[in-house]
Amino acid sequence: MFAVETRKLSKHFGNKAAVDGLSLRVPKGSVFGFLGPNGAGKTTTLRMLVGLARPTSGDAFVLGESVLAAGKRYLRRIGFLPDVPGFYNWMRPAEFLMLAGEIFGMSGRELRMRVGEVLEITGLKGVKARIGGFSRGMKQRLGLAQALLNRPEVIFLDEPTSALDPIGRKEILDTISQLSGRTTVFFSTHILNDVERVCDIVAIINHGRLLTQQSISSLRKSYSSHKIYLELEGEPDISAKIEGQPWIDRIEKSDKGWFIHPADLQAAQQALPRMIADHGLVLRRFELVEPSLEDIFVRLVNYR
Amino acid sequence: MTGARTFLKKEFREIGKTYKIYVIPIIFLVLGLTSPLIAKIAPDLVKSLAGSGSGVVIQLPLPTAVDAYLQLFKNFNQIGILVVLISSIGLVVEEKSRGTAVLILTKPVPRWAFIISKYIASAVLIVGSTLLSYFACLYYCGILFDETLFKPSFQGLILLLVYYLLVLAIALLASTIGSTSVVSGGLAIGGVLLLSLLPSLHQWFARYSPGALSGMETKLAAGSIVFSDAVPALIVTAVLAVLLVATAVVVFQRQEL
Ligand SMILES: Nc1ncnc2c1ncn2[C@@H]1O[C@H](COP(=O)(O)OP(=O)(O)OP(=O)(O)O)[C@@H](O)[C@H]1O
Ligand SMILES: [Mg+2]
Repeated sequence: MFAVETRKLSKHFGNKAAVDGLSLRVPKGSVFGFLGPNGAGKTTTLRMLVGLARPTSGDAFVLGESVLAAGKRYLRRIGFLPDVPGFYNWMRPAEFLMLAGEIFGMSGRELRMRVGEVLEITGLKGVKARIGGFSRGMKQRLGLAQALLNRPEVIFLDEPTSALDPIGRKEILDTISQLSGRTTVFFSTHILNDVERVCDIVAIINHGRLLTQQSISSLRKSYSSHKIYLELEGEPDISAKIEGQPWIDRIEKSDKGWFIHPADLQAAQQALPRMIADHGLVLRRFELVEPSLEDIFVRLVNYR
Repeated sequence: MTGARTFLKKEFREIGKTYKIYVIPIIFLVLGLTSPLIAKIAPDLVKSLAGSGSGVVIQLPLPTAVDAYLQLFKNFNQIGILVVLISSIGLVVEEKSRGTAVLILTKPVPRWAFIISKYIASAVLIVGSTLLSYFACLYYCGILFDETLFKPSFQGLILLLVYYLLVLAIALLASTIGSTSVVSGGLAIGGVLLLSLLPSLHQWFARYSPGALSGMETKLAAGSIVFSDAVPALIVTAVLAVLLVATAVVVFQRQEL
């Protein structure tokens, strides 16, 4: 059984398909990166998974229970951090967490200790001010705290690091990494760096449709080739010379050098140094560059 | 059920922690205290306004406790209803627009409990404030007029309270349907205006519709009708209130957040 599974899940707003026949499978214990550009349908998918919106067609299962079923017993076993979490302004952070905990049936010492724990984890320990005066980042931290409170089996996070500073982002990503194994993390984002740091599996969607779902390493293998970074002394323009070669796909100017996307990597590795020597140029850097997730993302979203 | 109970508790605490706990009882208390006073000094006021040198002799009957209750119910039906509406328009729509409903409803809190808790907590606040106001008026009447007219005025109060529960149900439904506070406010005010206009449209409405209650309250207090005359309209009002709350629950169950 999968922790989360969607089967041809669709959501239409009028005649616009926000989510379009999406089929995903999220294994238990994995950190699942749900990637897509703005408006791809990430938030809409999450809203259907946590029971806030009804699918137009298709079905989805969380911990084996259909989101279409009445009752939604699985809500006890999940956590959810919306993209912009909203709190009662008159409450203080610990107060909101106590409320959340009581809803889950926790109480007394057990609840107080757990509230202390999640406040510590999210860096809000000792914050006694009313939530009304919180910054966006602090609200996001508190949102994560309330999502962690019931030790969920599946935690849904909608762009959890979007409002955080770099240090906060690192802390939260570390927290998410530590959940790996015990908790299934369903993590929507368009920050590719975050995905590379913590996710095991990624799904990339655009216009509500799945482009690909696989592990990051296999995604790298199958979707992007290496490129070569070349930097020469004096930074002469060599693009015309290289563009005519049989092993070249395209060449791209960067700050001080060139990114060469070869059609045949090995041929390029052999031919390039020779060409440079023949033209009497002086090599400063010659480097094989690993494909980044960003390259893959841009390629998939633009060319499919 | 833990989720439902916890949310109800939150509703009461919210009232206690926000402006509502001070402002609403105080406004009602002021209505209760000023009504007998205004009734008492009104004739003198009229006389002094008419002027003493004009030679017109104004013969005004001495004010009684009945006048105090007439004034009280008039206030309850104008300022009181406005207060009930304003304090309850935001109940659901604010939780939707602020995103707080999302965090609550993705936890084990059933949607019906969300709506019913709000109705119960607001009803307790409104009924409590109105009772406070009424007893303040009663006490003051005892001092100013040497009579309290407890039985007829309390019967009038029962009509008013049931009417308030209906107004609250209208506001709750409007708050559930509306996507912004402005829309909800418009719907609720429209609904209450409709209620108050119905009795003048047809004699059937004048006897049995909720809007008939406001006229009956004062007649009861003045002793010109008896309680059983008001029972049909009272039942219609109570049933309508229950139906509207149930509708709010059904609407909310289907709503996407
Ligand atoms: N309630 C709604 N009514 C109409 N259209 C909607 C609604 N919610 C979402 N949409 C549309 O559905 C599409 C998907 O939106 P969604 O919020 O799921 O995107 P997203 O992937 O979360 O984007 P972002 O990265 O910007 O958060 C968008 O085109 C959006 O305009
Ligand atoms: Mg989104």
